[in-house]
Amino acid sequence: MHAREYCALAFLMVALFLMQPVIAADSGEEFFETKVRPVFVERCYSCHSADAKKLKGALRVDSREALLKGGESETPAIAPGKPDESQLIKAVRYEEEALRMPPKQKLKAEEIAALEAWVKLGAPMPKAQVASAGAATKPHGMTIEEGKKFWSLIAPKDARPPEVKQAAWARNDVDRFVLAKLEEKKIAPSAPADRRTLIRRATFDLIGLPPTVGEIEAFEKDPSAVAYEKVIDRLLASPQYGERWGRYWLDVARYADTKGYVFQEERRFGFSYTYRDWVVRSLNDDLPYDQFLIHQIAADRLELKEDKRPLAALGFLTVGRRFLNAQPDIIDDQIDVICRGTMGLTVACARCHDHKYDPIPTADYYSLYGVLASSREPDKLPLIGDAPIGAEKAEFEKELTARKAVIDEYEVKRQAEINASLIERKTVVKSLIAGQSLLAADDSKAKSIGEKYELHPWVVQRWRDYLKQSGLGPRAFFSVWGPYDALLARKLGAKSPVNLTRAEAQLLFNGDDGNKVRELKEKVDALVATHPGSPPRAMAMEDLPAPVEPVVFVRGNAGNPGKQVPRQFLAVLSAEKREPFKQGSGRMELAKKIASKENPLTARVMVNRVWQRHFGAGLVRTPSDFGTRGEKPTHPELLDWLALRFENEDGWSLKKLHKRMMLSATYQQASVDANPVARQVDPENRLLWRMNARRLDFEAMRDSLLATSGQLDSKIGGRSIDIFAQPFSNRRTLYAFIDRQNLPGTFRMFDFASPDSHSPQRFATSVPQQALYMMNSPFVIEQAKKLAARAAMGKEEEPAKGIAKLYRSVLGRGPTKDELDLGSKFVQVEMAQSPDAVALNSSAWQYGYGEFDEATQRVKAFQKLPHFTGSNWQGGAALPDAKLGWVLLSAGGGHVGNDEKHAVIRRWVAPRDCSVAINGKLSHTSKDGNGVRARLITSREGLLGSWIVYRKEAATDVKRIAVKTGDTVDFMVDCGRDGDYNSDQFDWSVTVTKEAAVEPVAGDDTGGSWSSQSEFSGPAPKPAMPMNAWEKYAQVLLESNEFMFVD
Amino acid sequence: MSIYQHGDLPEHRTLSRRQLLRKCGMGMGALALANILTQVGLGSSAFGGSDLINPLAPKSPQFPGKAKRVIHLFMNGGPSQVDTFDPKPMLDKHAGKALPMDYLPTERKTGVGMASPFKFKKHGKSGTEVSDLFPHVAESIDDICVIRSMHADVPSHEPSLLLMNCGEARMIRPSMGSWLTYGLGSENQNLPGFVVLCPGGYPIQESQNWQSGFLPGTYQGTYVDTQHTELTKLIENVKSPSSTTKEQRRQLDLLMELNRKHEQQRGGSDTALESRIQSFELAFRMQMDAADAFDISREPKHIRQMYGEGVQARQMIIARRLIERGVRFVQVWHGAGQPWDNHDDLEVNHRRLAQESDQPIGALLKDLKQRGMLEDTLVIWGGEFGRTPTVEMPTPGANSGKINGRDHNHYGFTMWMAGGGVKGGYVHGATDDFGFKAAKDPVHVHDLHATILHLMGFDHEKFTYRHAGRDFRLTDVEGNVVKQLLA
Repeated sequence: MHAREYCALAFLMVALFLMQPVIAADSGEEFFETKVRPVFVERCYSCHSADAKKLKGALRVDSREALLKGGESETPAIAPGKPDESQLIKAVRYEEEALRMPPKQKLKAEEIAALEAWVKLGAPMPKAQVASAGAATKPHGMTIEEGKKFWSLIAPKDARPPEVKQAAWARNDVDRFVLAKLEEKKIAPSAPADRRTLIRRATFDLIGLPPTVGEIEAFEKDPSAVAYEKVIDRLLASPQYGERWGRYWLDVARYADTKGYVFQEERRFGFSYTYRDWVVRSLNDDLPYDQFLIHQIAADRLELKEDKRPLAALGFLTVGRRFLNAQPDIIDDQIDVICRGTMGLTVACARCHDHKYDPIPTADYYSLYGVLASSREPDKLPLIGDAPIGAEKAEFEKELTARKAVIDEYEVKRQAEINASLIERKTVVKSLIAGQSLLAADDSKAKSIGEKYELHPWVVQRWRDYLKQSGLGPRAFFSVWGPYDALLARKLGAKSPVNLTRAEAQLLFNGDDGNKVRELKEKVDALVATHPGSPPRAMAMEDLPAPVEPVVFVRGNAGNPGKQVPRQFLAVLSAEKREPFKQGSGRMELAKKIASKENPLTARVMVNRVWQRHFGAGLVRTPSDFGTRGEKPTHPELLDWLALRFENEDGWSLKKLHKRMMLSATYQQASVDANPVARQVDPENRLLWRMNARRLDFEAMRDSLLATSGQLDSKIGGRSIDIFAQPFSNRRTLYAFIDRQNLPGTFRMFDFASPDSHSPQRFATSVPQQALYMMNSPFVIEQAKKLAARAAMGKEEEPAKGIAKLYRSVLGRGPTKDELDLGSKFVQVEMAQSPDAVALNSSAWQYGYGEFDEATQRVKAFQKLPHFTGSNWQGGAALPDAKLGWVLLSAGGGHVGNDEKHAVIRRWVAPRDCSVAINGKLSHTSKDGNGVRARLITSREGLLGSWIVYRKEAATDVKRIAVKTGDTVDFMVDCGRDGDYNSDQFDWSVTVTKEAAVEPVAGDDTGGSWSSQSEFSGPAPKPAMPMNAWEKYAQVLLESNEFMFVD
Repeated sequence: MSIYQHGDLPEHRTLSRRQLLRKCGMGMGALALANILTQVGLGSSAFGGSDLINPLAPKSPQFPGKAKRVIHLFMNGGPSQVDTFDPKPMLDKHAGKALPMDYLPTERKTGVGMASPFKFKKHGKSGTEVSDLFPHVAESIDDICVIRSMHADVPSHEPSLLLMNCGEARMIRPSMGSWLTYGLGSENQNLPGFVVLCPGGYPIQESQNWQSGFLPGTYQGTYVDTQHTELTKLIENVKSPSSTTKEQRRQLDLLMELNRKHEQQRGGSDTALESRIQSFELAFRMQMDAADAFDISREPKHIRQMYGEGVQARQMIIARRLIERGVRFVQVWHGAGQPWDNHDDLEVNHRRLAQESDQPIGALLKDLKQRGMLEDTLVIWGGEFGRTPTVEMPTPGANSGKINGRDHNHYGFTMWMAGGGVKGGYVHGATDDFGFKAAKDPVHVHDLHATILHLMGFDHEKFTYRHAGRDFRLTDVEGNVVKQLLA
């Protein structure tokens, strides 16, 4: 019995008890009712009864039958008459650590005694309870028989396309199914989309890129009746089709380029890219979908010819997370990707218990588990092509040899050291004695004997074997000891216990050795995984020589094996009598069961996935759950009709499937929401009365930016690349390196498919970080600049012309009059900006000179100082400056100008409304001259203080003044009225401190201070990526919703 | 037209639901508005569809929670309970001797009992004992609920970190911060709802510790390396490399006009279009708010002095500033790797680590309290497990063989919580005489999670998310609310 079976919450349920009919038939039952049932009700029912909020461990104590049956461990909870053998009694006695019930608090002694007495009596219980016991034995999910009647698990029905009233609207049979439903609800379909919209939609749908202006114009002008069909054919034939739809499949296959968290091993998969490239190639070749699946599950069992590249298809199973190499978790992930990915079945739910809703018993899970556990990844991944010829290959091979040599060197060195230590006189003596002791004992003692003599148990065994083989017996000590000398090793021969081979020596490696070797091996793996000269390999699988006979892991715990099950297919999708798999692991048989017309799910699930990508939502809106918890199809007859066409007439051709969908009038509708009646009746557009507008996903967005800026690199395939590293790669986003462990934030914020498990559909969140990326990321800004350059926009560009060029590049159309006006105004304003205005990081401090106006008591004619030396602001490179004389400001102070009109001014500009206190220290230290005059002046209040210092210090504090944003506080120093500016250098450091309330309050962030010394700075830095007016305008167009959405 | 006038810099304030209504109301259809602020239904797969308009909009919990936000101080590596909050006089008596108990298997071999080199003293009205490692924290002891009977499942870092963060040791599950941000949204749309601070790099198990699992990626913790002080290194794309705020404002004004026309041509009721329009306005504000939230120089001197010097002080101030601005969940890690994992030189290292963090944590508690925020901010302190009361024996390649440290211990360890509706000045549960194993009122990590969710206003059994055919919970199929911890 399992501990969880009795897990109880301490809820008192007396009320419940009182409502139960009490029918005591005899004294035994009376004893039960008075002494036992109250205990059950109060302490056990909350987890173990028909009324339990949640039944724990599948055990109920509210009927005798249930108690006799037991819970999920399938051992009876009571042995009537034998309390000591009853699991229930053992549990309440707290006899075993793992089985203590109730778990929170032990029952009182008298309660335990009552239970014991009751079991001894034979556990009598009133019959009245039996009625509800039936419920406990019924599985809470669906039985296999019920399952075989569920809509998705019966074969698709070939319905005739329905008759419709507006037959003229329908372009193909798909439309009849859609229109029939619309007519039923009296909703009119939408008008067809215009050609520009249609080609943009079709192009994004099939290749994930915008159409070029040329393509749009050609289509708009094409008078042919099959103009649209020609567009679709062109797109389907484009190699970029495989890149777009390959990425969709990689969502299904939870593709990534890393293993997830690892402990001291190479994190990257070296050859995940070969799987990605196989997917792209297969889709471009229109490999029939059944073959597509068979390859991915069992390519190693196919008879391949010269070309071994199809082996890479097995990446479907192997590119998942590695869970620190825990096999049960790896296989769980594989079962999930196979079953949800290809059949929309949540089989992985049955890992710990029978599926709660769908007809999938745990036994079925472990039948599949056995198939995968009977397969392994080969130690050496098979080569599937040649390395690129040339320098890279040679370089790779040279480096590989070098890195392997380092391991050899280390291991050989350690081998010598270990042998040397074994032959030390002291060690030999100990080894002889230890080996002798082991002769008299069995192998299990090797460890304890080894510990006693400080020897590795393997060494002890080796000496024991030596002593035994040499037949020296008890005389060994003398026979070896006698001739002991430096030649001992040779004398004892090749099998000598003191002359270990390299492999043997490795057995004696300590932790440090292990770490070192692992580190060196990682370097080899890293090279193989990343070097461009490393030849491509397949992340293949192969069958074990002898397949595993799987057992159920009770509660999903590998340490708790249950009954054995055959390797076979799911019961609900099999005939009454299932044939266990016979060929090797059974992977090929499994693949064929899935990729089969007999399988009612496979074609339906794929048709629905394709529909979802074309229409924005699937006919079944839970694309990877076709079980009872999933949604039912909105158009079940259409789904079946398409599935049957797909697997029969079209021979599993995906390209034909696309065409069927895209040639429909349904697909060609406009997306504009212009039908209030329809919106009322069907706000979610489930009946498809219009097309759904869709936002570009991350890949389409980034690829479109590159295409629009003219930078897109159309190279297909190869190792993944870091798309965030600068200089930026212009490859398609499909080729981005996907680190599933630390997926870069940009992927996450744009709702990229989680690479951690099979991903049925993408989320479409709207968060400000997405906008920040468009506004501030160097990548987007780079594209805006390239776009402006591509449109060849000079500074003198006439606004109307430039705007028209950009509109065509970005949106594939010309601007409207309004848009032209807005654009012209924007560009003109930006062109008028002085370059100065572009400076970033505006500081609160400014450095200048000016004059004190006695009349207004304020600063007159403040001018910024023109030159910065790297440490001082001054009039020019040399002092005195021809125009401004000795004027100078440094971090700590400065020097006055040559007259009152050239007072130096350090200016603080209030960045916000607040009140501030000002503290400063002014000093003049030179013995010469006659000192300086300092003034503190604010634009709001005028002169606040004045000090004259000569060879002394003064505090220049101002208690508290209120300032408004933009107000200035000037720290002005001049030579004084006499005009003597000799030796008038001074120190004056000030701090402006924002006054905060003494007791801080929530939300108060008014702290802050500005130090003239520490914040002293040169000119504000120029922006890293300055943009001109046209570039700014181009960025706005790239940010627009029109660019980001497909109608 | 623009929501902002040129140069109208947003005030640094939490954008409340009402403010959002007021600010964004202009030009926004009623339908769009309703969608943006719609409460996401819990207990069902609210995100089953493909349109998730504003995933961080504030939402109400299942019942009114005492805590509104969380600061989780993660002492990664595993601090030793017998050296911090769980005094064991019996251990002193058996120092240097084999403990009279069955040794439980931990990661490595351990030897004799190792007395704590630190002195314990009673603090506060409650008289709770705290070692001299944490004098500043001890000053707030009457606000702290110490759980001395924590236990987890295994003595290894990786699974224990995942268990503590995600409620599951191996498989991919959302972290607690992701769950809470999913359930409650965030009070500030201009900052991420779940922020993770860790100086110098990742802890082990890396960003999996704050993963969103099968929840949308936007609920994943936003990692911030607090070793940096430069804003652009703290938050991605937070500052334009090209434009000043004014220039950017002009760009956004134009963008807004173009987008409005585009929207009107399409019926004017599309929430996806509308929310993307708003996202640019939010992003514009985020630039200011993020800059402000991470700029601790804006704190008055006396506050900065209270927290002290160093990176721990800086990140505690940042944590408080974030929480104050409405961020839902802030996790603060001690440092990259596993700093508290003192297999060797425990005395020296624990003293150093405590010295780094004691004053900042103490200040954080006092600061939250004096702002009236402690009552609805839950502060959690602890590692992924604790350490053995016995000394770790030498293992080549694994420790330095000094015989002066402690091994991992998941059988019993201490965590504490403060504020947010927990019972202050209270000690819950106990380990055995030597501090090896939780003996009285054990609290499993699942129980802790159930209790935290309860404090936040969620029934952990009903707070679920449908994924791959199952309704998942933070507490899997376990967990009980520990009522005694509640105020």
